[in-house]
Amino acid sequence: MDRRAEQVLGSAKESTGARPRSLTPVKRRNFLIGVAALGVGAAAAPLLAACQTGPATGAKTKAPAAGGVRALNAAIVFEPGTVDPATGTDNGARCINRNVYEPLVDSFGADPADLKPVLATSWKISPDGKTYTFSLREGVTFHDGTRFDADAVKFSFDRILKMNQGFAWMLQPAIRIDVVDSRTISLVLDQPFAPFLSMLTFQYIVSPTAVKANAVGDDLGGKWMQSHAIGTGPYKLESWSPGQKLTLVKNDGYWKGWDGKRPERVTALFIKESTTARLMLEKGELDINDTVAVDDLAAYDKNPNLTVYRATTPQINFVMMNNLKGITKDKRIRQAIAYAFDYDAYNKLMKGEIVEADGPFPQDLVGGVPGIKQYKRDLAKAKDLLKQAGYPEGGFTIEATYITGLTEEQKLLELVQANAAELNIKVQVNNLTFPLIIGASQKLETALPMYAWYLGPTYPDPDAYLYQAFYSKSQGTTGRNFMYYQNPTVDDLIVKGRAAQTRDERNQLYRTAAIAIMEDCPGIVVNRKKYQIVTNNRVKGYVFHPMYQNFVRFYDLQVEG
Amino acid sequence: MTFAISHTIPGDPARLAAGLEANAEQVEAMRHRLGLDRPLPEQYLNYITSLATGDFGESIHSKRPVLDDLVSYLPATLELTLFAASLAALIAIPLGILSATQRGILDYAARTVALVGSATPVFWSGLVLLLIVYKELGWLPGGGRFPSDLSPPDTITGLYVVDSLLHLDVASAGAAMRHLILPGFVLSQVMLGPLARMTRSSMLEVLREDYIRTARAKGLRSPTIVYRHAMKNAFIPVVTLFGLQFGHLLSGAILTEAIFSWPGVGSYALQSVYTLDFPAIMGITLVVSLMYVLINMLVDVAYAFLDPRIRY
Repeated sequence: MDRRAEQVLGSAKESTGARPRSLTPVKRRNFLIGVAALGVGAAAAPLLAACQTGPATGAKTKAPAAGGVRALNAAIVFEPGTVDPATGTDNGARCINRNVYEPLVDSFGADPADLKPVLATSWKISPDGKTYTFSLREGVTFHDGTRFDADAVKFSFDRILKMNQGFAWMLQPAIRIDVVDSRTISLVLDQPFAPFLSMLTFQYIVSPTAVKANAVGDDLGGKWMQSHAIGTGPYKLESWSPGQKLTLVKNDGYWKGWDGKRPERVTALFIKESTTARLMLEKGELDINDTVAVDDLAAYDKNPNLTVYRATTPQINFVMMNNLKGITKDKRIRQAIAYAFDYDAYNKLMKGEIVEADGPFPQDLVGGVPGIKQYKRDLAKAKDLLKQAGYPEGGFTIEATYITGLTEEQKLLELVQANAAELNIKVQVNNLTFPLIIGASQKLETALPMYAWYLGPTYPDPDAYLYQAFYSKSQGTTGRNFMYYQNPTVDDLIVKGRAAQTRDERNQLYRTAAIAIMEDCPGIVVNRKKYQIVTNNRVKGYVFHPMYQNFVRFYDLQVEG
Repeated sequence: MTFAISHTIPGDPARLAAGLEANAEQVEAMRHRLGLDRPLPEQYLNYITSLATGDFGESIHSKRPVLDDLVSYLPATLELTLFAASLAALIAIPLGILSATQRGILDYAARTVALVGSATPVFWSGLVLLLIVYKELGWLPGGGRFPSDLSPPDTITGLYVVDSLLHLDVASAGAAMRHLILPGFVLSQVMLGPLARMTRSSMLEVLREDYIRTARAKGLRSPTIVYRHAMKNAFIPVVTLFGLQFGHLLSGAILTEAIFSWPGVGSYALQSVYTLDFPAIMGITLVVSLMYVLINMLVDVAYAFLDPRIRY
């Protein structure tokens, strides 16, 4: 290189700085080359490995048992927070617990009030309605081999009451739990309480041995039970990868036995996006999908490899309105908005996948409610009511809220907005997250004027609707009476219904309550939700349990191949 | 600030944790159990004291230690982000250099590719890729981190690809990688456009410098000029942007995770917000902030290697 070039290059180097001194013995250029080589090498190795098309069968991975295991892949949208039946009330927990644990009695079939024996074979209720005596099933063991008996029931119930979380409130009417003998247990209530038996459907029996062995201090096994489950159910919890999947395997010692082609291994994949679940189902990687969007149903129906099960649930969709404050405090305003609502238009929006609701709870629970008021669309009546209320030209605004992310509720409120506009009532639609809605509903001052809400029974009894959503003491910080509805007559009927001893007596009381509620029109009673679940043709025998939509009982299924 | 905001927004986590049907006594018992009946400054002090011992508190939703939850979810996000960022850099930087050094159709093509990548919504490209690559062609799996019928490798780092390689299980590494490709590619699009454009503009600026003209005058070949003399000087702003984007992705890619059922921090964060799970919200905020700081430190160190004038 000539001197002039050296001088030029030297000045060029000066313009970018002096020749770099090494920070360490590694020179800068060598360092950069090394990093680049490491990056390429690190990317190349697994990329080359990814070109393998077969499944991974290395020594560190566990393949499923060879030959003969009937496996099922199910997509579920709800992942449990905890699988401890004493504390977990979220939908994910209930889905899993329904397959791993069992209660004394459970709700099956289309009539949710038709309770059937499970771990109890029979029961008697004393004439004063305060003592429930259960005969327990013989020959049942927990997953860890512990024998199921009355002591296990008492232990489980005492644990639920001591932890005082989850559904403990359902068991609190019992002031005493007595072990009569190893096969008999009695629960004594402080007063007659007719829904009590229905509430036992959520009180699962756990293995005392397992809980005691894994308790830390006085936590009653709570920490361990968060991710472990030892019940009497048809499946054991094998593993749980948070955010990914949960695996259930067959309980060989299950007391009902294993006839037919029931699934022996169930992998529950947590898939939140309905389109992803649909693609996996169509591809054959899923056998069951309960993350079904209404817009996908037409495509599912056309697919000869898939079966869509539909059922009408006991959940009722409301447009609830505040009954104690604001413009909707006036019953006539609420009735006017209800008369303006166009149900047929909403049915079209929902592509016919809803069933019109006929009362504050499904009428079939009480054998029908003759004479109950219905609010069929009638703009003339609506205008007349507005006139009676002092708003002949409408001219006021109401804020309506739906839970963020729920598109069906959003469409519902937008329809209400359009219908209300015909009365010159302006409805402003917005959304809030679920916790904020709950927070706002705690006090009357912050309670929402109007919101879309599904009311579903927590236990199979009309009381579940009435007490939670229409009883005056369920306003605010307890219960779900977020519309602040109150009617002393209805309160009295609800209380009497809880104490009544015969179903006929209760049905009559609840019919009267339903008529009064519909006359008061606390909100628009819109529809009963339809539940859809899709399976591929390997899966047969799905039975819809009204109390347990989204909580598939895998044991009931038959799996081909 | 996060503590104050998360504890003062409207909502009652005790009510949510106890359940909507819980009676008043249960709700108050839950409030006491969660320590929410204490004054806010006392709650904060208790939290900071616990934090000093490595206790991030217990998640209200999962009832597990928040640290355990983060250990479950963070490696998934880290793995996805590392792959997406590497892929973005591998594509964007050559694209940016090509765009800066070529004229005409190649420049337009490179810029269009970068623009389309950035402009395409993640939820759209994710679903379209699932439909074509997964369902129709069957080339790659659809969701999750690992085949659902197999167990992932024993945990060392939590990154399935790395853990498989450390266990010398190339087949498992391949399986994990196959699950990584689609979501990683979709996520890389978020970084691609800005990174390519920054590379391009930075290169253009450097290529206009006097010493580059001198190098050309000396007769040096273009590749030598670009890769030996210009690139290192152009990389400073690119590395800065890369670091910022990487940190942003680490806080969770909610849409990508939802579409590909990827169990990352994004989904965990969303769930925590929906359930007013304060300890989880605080834990996520803390960890993500720490990672941002770490990434910025690494970027600063990288400056020193790229530019010898920078000394610490």
